Amino acid sequence: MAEILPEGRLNLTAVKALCVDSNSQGLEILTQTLTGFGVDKLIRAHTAEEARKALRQDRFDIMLADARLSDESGYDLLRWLRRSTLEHNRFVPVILVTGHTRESQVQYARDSGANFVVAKPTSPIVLLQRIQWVARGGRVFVESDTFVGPDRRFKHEGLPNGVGRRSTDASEALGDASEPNMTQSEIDTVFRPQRVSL
Amino acid sequence: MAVTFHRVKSSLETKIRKPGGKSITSAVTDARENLAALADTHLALIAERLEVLTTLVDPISDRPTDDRLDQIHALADECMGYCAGVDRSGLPECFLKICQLADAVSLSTLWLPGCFEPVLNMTRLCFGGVLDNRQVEVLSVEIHRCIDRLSAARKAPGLS
Repeated sequence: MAEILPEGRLNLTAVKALCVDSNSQGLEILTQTLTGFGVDKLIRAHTAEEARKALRQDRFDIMLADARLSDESGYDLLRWLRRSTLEHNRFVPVILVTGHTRESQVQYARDSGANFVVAKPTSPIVLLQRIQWVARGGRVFVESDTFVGPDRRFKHEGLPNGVGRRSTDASEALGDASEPNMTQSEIDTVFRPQRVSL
Repeated sequence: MAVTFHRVKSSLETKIRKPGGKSITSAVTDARENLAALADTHLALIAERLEVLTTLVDPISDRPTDDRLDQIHALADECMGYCAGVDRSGLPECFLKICQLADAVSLSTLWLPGCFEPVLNMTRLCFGGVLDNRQVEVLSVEIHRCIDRLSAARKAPGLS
């Protein structure tokens, strides 16, 4: 089946990106993908320590990091960033790239504060879609004792069990049916164009 | 526990909307071309890593040590990344299976002698361009059964 790409344009020429990967070829994959997208300002870091230095010295618009770095995990780097006092960079959109997350690390990864975690191999279209999604904005940034990062919820779950409704709450349910459902022919009749004498 | 919500407009949101730039189709095409230019280098790296993986599971009947399992996981993870611009159907899935198997073995009290052999053979065939996605999917069913058996015999938390 032919791939259908969404229409539209995007301008990443003014965007400054930080790419972090201890594997030089992995770093090349990230930077070449972003270069293809039109990103001109790219800073490369091979370790978490180099990334910290860059984040202290410069303002970034997006950060892409591998989850597995030589000196520490990308998740730990991100936790440090989200809890830091770097007023602009601590909120920067971050996409983490991972191959297989070991079962012992899944929850840790989920709670790291990434905007997205993308699976390897990094597909340009998936990465671009994630960048576009993040650029749409609208996601609240949450700060608590146990989690700092973009709100992890993507959908409204409705009222939790046992919580009373307030008068200003929108109705979540239509309620039970009070009469039999219409048959298909009755529905068709409603929608069929009819002549009206004026 | 206090929870604070910040409504932050990122600089990315503003910059991406500026006039100019390129179409999404061009962006994706250019990125793919850049990755395709790295393909030869990455194929050579994958070939080298496959040799190392073979030595790490040798002898095939013995359970690799935990250190070796970590190395197997790391190498397979690395190779998954290298598949980005490489035209080998099913290859990323093979490396993912190796990662899953290494993880399952490390957490299990059970050892199935020779369990790495089918997945390594499948990976070599994919690398050689012999298998496609559908065939990998079929072969992966048995590999996954093996992973499930290992996962069912999980070590108690905190034990190495």
